[in-house]
Amino acid sequence: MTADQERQAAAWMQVAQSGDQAAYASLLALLTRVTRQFARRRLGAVPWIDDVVQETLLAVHGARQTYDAARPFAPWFYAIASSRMIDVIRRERRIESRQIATDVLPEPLSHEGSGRDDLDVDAIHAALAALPPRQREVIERMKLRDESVREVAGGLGMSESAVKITAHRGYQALKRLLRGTRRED
Amino acid sequence: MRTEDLIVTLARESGPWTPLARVRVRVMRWLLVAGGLAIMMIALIGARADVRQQLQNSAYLVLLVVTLGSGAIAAASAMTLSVPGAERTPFWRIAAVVLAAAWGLLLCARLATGGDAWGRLAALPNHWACVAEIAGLSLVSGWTFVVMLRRAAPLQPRWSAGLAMLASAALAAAAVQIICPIDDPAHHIVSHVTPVVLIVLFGAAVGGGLLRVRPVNAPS
Repeated sequence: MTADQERQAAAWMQVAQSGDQAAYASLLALLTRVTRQFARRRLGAVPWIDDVVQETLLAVHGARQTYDAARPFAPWFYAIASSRMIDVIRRERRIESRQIATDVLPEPLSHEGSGRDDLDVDAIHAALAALPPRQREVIERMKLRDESVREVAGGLGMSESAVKITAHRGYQALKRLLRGTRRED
Repeated sequence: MRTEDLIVTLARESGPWTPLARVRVRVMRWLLVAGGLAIMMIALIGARADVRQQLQNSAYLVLLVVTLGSGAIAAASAMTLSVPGAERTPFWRIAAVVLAAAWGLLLCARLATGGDAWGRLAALPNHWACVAEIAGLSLVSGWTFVVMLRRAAPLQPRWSAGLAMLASAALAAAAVQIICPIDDPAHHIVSHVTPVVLIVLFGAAVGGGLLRVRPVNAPS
């Protein structure tokens, strides 16, 4: 937040305190831009930047009575934005860990008895070969050798969560590669 | 919901609002309420018979000042924490915890120098009246504190609730010190310090949930 933006935000906040909804909307629009920049600088281009922005706006709205016009606006605002960003990061990590847990259910990769006539083993092997070595190793151990996450972690000297994350990324890459193959067919 | 729509909704919802009073004003208000409740309890139950003499006894006075001090500092820290960005440094909340620990350590030191420390402590010189008075007063004044904190915006709810309960329980323990005629440090550790520790832990666990900012929604 630049010094000008801070002055403007403090001025809008004071006007909004007397019930000026237009000033309040302008303040929230400014805070949207500032929060988006703030989150992008810290998180990069994650797909849930808007969640951070919206959670921050809601928290600012809920905490607006704690703003003291005699104190600078930026520390008050950034304390709220940081806190909400941390909560959103925690939530995303929880969701990611749950998604991976369902992804890593062992499903032996086999043609027979899969009931999927459209499975092309050659295409899967080609896609596997195109993966980075670490992702390929993790997926082969889990899917072809039917090893558990713990066994793979022990075998490769990785933590269990690192195995899950590597497997998840590998599946995403495989999906993209296989979709590309089908389109070409 | 799109962010633009959220802005419109929030702007439409917002009317004029009154800013919260300054931290020191809110601390003073709470101290007046909690102090008033403590005085009422002392008046109802009655102070120990030798309270005037004890107030001239430095050992008694030091204990009272340390207990009251940790309560007052905890109250100021909890109120400061409830205003986003107001806490410049965690010095005061650490000071409150250190002072509360000093209260316990002071009693341990007195217990150790009094001889047969383990025997006296193992006898568990408990008086349920002291426990009930501390618990009752700290729950009432602690609830008042939590209500005041909920009107603000505590971003670290466990710390805020824990400090609020430390403030309430320490103040209650100081009031009980004026009522309780037993000077044995073993009794103070069992019936005064232990309930305070339990109340603070309970406050941090339960109050933390009460003070939590609206939880982040799971994505639809």
